[in-house]
Amino acid sequence: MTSPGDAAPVKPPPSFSPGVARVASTSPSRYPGEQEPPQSLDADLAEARSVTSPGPLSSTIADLPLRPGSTHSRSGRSSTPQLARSSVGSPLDGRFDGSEDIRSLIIRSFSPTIAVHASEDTDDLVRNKGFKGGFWELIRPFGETVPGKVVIRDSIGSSRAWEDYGVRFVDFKGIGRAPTGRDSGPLAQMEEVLSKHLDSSEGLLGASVRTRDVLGYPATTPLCKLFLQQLLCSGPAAPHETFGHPVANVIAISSRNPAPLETLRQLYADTTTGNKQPPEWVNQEYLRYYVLVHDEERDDITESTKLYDQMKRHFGLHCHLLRLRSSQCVVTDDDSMQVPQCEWLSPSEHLSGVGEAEALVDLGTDGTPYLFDSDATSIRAFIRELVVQSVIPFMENKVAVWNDQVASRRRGISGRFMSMSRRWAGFGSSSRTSIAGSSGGNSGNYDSVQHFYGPDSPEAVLRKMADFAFMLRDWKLSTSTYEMIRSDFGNDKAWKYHAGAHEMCAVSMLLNPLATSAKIKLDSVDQLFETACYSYLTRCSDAPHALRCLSLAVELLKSRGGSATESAAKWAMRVMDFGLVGSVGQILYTERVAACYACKTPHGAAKWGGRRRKAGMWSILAADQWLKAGKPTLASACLEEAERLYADVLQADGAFPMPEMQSFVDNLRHAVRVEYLEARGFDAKGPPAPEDPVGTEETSEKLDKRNHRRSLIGLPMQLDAGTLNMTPGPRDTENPPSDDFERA
Amino acid sequence: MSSNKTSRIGEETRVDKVNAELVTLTYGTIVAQLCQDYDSNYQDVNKQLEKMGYNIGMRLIEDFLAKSGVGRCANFRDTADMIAKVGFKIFLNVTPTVTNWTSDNTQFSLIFEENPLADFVELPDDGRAQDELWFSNILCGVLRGALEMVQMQIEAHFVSDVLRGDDTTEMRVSLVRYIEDEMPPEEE
Amino acid sequence: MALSLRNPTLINRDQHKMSYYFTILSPTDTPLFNIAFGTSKGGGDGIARFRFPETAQYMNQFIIHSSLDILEEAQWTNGSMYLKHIDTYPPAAAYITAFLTPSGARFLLLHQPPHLPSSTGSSGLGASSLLGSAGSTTRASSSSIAANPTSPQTEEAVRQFMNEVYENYVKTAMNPFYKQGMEIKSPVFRTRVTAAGKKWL
Repeated sequence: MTSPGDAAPVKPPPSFSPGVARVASTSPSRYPGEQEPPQSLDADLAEARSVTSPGPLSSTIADLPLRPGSTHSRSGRSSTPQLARSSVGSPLDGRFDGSEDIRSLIIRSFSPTIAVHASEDTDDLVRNKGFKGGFWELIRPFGETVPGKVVIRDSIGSSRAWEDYGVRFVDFKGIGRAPTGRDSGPLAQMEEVLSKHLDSSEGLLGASVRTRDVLGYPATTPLCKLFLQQLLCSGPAAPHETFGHPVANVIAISSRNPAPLETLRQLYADTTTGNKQPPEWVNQEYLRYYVLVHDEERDDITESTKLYDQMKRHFGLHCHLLRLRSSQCVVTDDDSMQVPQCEWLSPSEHLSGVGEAEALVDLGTDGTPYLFDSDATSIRAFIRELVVQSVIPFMENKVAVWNDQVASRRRGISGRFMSMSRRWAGFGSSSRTSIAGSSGGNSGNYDSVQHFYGPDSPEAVLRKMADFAFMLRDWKLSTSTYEMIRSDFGNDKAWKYHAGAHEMCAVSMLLNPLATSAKIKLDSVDQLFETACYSYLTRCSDAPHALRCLSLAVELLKSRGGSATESAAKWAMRVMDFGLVGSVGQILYTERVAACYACKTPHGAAKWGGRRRKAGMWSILAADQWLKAGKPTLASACLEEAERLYADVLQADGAFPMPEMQSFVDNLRHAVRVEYLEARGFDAKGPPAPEDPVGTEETSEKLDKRNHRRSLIGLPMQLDAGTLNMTPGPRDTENPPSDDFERA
Repeated sequence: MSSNKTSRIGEETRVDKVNAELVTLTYGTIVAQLCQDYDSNYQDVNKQLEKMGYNIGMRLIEDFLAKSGVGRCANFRDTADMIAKVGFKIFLNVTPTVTNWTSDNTQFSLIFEENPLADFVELPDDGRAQDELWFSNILCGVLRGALEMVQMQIEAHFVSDVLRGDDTTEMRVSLVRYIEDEMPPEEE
Repeated sequence: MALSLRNPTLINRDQHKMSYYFTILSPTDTPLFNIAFGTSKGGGDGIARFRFPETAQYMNQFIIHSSLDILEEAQWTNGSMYLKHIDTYPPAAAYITAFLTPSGARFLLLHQPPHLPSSTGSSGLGASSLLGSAGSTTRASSSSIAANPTSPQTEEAVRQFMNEVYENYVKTAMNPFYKQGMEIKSPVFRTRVTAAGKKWL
């Protein structure tokens, strides 16, 4: 490991040997589009290829009329090789709210973590700009989306470009330390966030509460997305998985610093010694990246450039000169732009109000996240260079090295023999699950008191390699690596590692787009999840990870479509059964079950194979629960969804064949409508206008006789428009307005 | 004619086979249709069934006489036996019991152990059919029509029916008078 | 997970007592007949005790209705009239067994084991054995064979029940006063179904 103290201008981490093409330009690239020729060529070719041969799905989409809002986003979504079919969802594309979006969300949630360690003077400079959290807070939102395509080479050397790549900046001092100040667990916090979100948005969301993607599949509700996001970023870094461990450390000083090199050296030292260094289970072999923040307004650029050159001589190529203005930007400034919102805020951050500065915009200038355009451009260019030219190559290289040095040995004969002998040692009895197995069977690398492997042990390295491959989206390699190590953890009784490897093995399998066509064995995926969940929950009592595991199972199986959706629904029910979620979570998962079933669409002329009735039932149940939770707007959305789902399977009049079902649904509709209007301040008991169809006498009188009412479709929208005139909503245009509701 | 001989004719007379369920369903459907047409006015349905039976009986008697080859009955008791053991046997393959004669030998009862017409039937549960509808009333008409063609004016009606929940199915038949030859049958 | 080989009579009788909800649906999903009953064998009182509260009995209908999705699929892939266990509603441990008449009427039997009072503790984990046949291999079911709604014994008993109901259904359908596709109101039929339930379930 190189330390800044060594004066010789050598490449910093010895294990890093970047490709020639990538280091050809060492000066900071100002323009996101600037890429080295081979890569952009690749990408262009790929684009051309995917345009000429669009997948069947995309051609279907193209034929369908799009909602005005989504046309733009689609055109902005250029295809990348192979992914056009399955897995690209640009993060800018939030409106495109299908399962692709959820896949992308999941993929992005496992982004490389980059620690940020800035000097006091840097933080001061940035604080003056209105970012109280300092440098880290300033660059954090920009890291979530690396501008332009990011090309990653997988283990067999083929490249793939990604539109939605991101990294997660974390405060260096916070790594491995649980957020303080709150005693409730992450799950309770999530529930709190959800309730808070609901209370603030109920009544405002109106009809827009649920969008649908172009194919008419039930979309993910914003709330559900929020939940998933919360879940995926709620946990602090843990020993058993390396996703939260830093892949790189950005060490930043500013041009104001009187002793820049000395400070850099000190900051570097912090990462290896002293009380600021990460916990001992974090592998120290991460990339160091040095940033000089130049104050455009107060300091001389020639001085800074000189310093920057000096830095490069000392620390090698992983340096960047970031030019920022030091004054604070306000809304009224000409070239002001709002800082993008952080997409990945943990529950505790949500609760402590991070990212809610927006609400203060009107109250004053303090704390409002505005930046000069030029600053934003510089930051974006910095992040792109950091990721594309340093972090990704570093990770690719690490994976290659570990694969070569550790994994292949493990895969080879001797490795297998090792593993065998470990397994069969002990007492000579055959059972590797017996208690006896542990005494002679474990590798000795696992510290069973502190519950972690040393970061240099083969187990930990392989896990890290698998995680790197995962973050590089090389799911084929990550699958095989998790596969290789998962049983070792069981032998060592390292149950959290055991659970994590099983979990990520299944997740990798499901994410691997190449395995889509090949019938991946759903049974084995289910079995992996089952084992992971059992280890998390029963052996480790780790509810948050168990919930994450099951939620990933639900979402990824759902996005697979076909018979996998039934597994997805099963896991969603399991989440509820285990009581892993609070009351709001229960309802969300009820909705999720409905969504899973709704994904299984009928095929063939006979129209069988769908799960419309099941989906409809779960939607009704969700509506009932929303109503009980006092959220009539959401209940109404679920009812509408149920109606849509049932439309294909019920008689033309939409009546349920079974009387008790019918009366239950009728009563539910009625109750939802009454509550909805009451929540809006309308007195449902005394209709404000004679033609108001919501008169209770009428409704209750007719309740039993009516077969069916298409009650709530379109209702919220009309109310939003400030009228009670019950014209049919947009969805009804194909049906003549002949519903009972009209006549009532 | 002795009772034994009558039985033998019933056994020996060959009938073309018709699927029993078909007959049952056909008859049941007719009754159900009548109930619907008469808006569940069961008195009218009974009357209509009887009338239909009468028309059947007037024709059926020729077939009966041709097939069975029986001669003239000596008395009304003979007639009753012929009806039960030959007529019902040939046409419905059941043999109702003749019983409950009045002392003047002009009234008797036919007790039906089984009734192919009423297989599978459950009367509508509208609260009236059980009291008003005689499901097999066509049989009364058949007897009246057939006997009229052989110069006997009779009156027949059901007094109980297992379909109504009674223990037995019983038809009461009364001889009104013998008709002189010159009397033409009244047109119904 | 090994099935219990113990003599079933040694097992607590309460575990045998299933609750049943039997429905006949027309080919167009109209319900023709409903009946709820409980286990009569082994000392059962024949009374259904579903897990839903009294006010939520519609759930039986919802669950049965939702299983039609599976039934429609099964009827294309399975040629026989008796389709066996086709669906499970895990949250309430409701199992659906189906029988299809040649004319397309569907006989659906929902069976639900009784709530076992916290033999596995009150935590959420206790209910996990309800997850049906697939996937729940790690947790042992506390039920005996006889109370297991998917065991061959149960399948056979239900088959007998279905066949007997079918015979009676044919007779009922022959009643001239019964209009095809209308609710079966015949008390005779109800009595016979009840008897079949007593006899087999």
